[in-house]
Amino acid sequence: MITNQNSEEIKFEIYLTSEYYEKPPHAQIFLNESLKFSNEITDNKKLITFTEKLNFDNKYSLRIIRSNTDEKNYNINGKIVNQCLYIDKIVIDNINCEWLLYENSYAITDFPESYIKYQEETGQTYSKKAYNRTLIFNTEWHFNFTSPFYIFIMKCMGGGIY
Amino acid sequence: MKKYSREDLTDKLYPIEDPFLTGLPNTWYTQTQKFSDTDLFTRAADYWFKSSKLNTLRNWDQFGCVDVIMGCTHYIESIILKYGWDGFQILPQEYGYYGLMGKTGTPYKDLKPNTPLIVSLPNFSYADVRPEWDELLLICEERNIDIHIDFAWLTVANGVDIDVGHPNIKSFAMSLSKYCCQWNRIGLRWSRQRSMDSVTIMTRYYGDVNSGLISCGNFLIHRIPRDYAWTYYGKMYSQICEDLDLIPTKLINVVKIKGQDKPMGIGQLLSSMHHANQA
Repeated sequence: MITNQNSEEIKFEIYLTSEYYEKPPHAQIFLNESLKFSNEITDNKKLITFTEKLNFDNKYSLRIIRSNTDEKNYNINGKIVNQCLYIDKIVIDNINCEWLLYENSYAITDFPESYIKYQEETGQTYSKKAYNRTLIFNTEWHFNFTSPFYIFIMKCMGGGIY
Repeated sequence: MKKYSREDLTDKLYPIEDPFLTGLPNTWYTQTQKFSDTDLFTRAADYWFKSSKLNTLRNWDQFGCVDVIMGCTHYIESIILKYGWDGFQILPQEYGYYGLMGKTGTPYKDLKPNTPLIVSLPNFSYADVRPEWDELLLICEERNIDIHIDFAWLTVANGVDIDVGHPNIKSFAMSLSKYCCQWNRIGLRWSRQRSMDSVTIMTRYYGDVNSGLISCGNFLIHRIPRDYAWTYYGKMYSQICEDLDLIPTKLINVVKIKGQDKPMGIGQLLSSMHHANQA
């Protein structure tokens, strides 16, 4: 209504928590190809914030690349996990996106050979791409959305005037 | 002409309530009315609010997202709902709505960083823009405080000149309520960019809801001249101020007594003068 805008300034707030025994998980955060954060996560409820100009009608992907773990960091058979990164909360434009994440986010997990072997030996299934916010292994996590963000939310709810 | 004295001033700041304004509900309820959709009303009301010859809002065109609100209190509640009761701040001497629910004002020099501020302009207590306005803008800029302006009183103001182009001013709202239209609270919110909140849900998600409210809003703006209060009562206001040695303000229903800082209501006196003149 009476708008001639074609972009918006949107604030992103990403809350991460890590658990680890020796070395912490590392996280890189991208918005599309733009790197916004890169560091080890050593805190509980670590908050990463940034503000970005989004162009209307464009597609965006918020990506968290979790790394810094390897075969030594977990013991599958004994079910001991020595390093984990949790995506606690994603807040975009002051909206807690909890309810949006299930339908619009996914994690691509780089399962280690020992894990795959164990799953196969025990007859269990696993999915490389799935909804997941407890990142035990090296993982690339995606949340896809469009701008304007409020219209994206309305579309997810199945209504609204665009 | 009716005689008057300072005894006719009131502590409460009553709006103008003359037969024309108080007669509008009767007209609305007793005559056949036309339906108005949200889009039509929004455009008409946008034009109506902007057509004031008495006040100047510079850089209004930076606020291209326009939404219908159910009065300025709805605008306020939408902000509060988004940021939480402890997630926004106000200044001292604000709209009584906040105080009724226990919210107290923060002196402008003590405002918390990164926490949105809702401020009413003109402020009823000063009957003008707050004197610290320019300094307040600097503080908000330094502390990353978003400003949302409740312009409820602007509808009955005269001589207010304000630049809303400051980047920290994110939205503002106006309503018809001060024209004795509390019975059909309606107005507009202008935002730099639209975000998901109560007002957006009402107007953009639910869409054509409140058609009775909106149709009546359209009825009102086509009957009430934008600068009605000052056009019809301005001379009377000035005459009373001169006769009673009062200080005029920028609000039609507020005067000040020389040597006193307290605002006094002149709305009832003006309304009664109109009644007397009509008799």
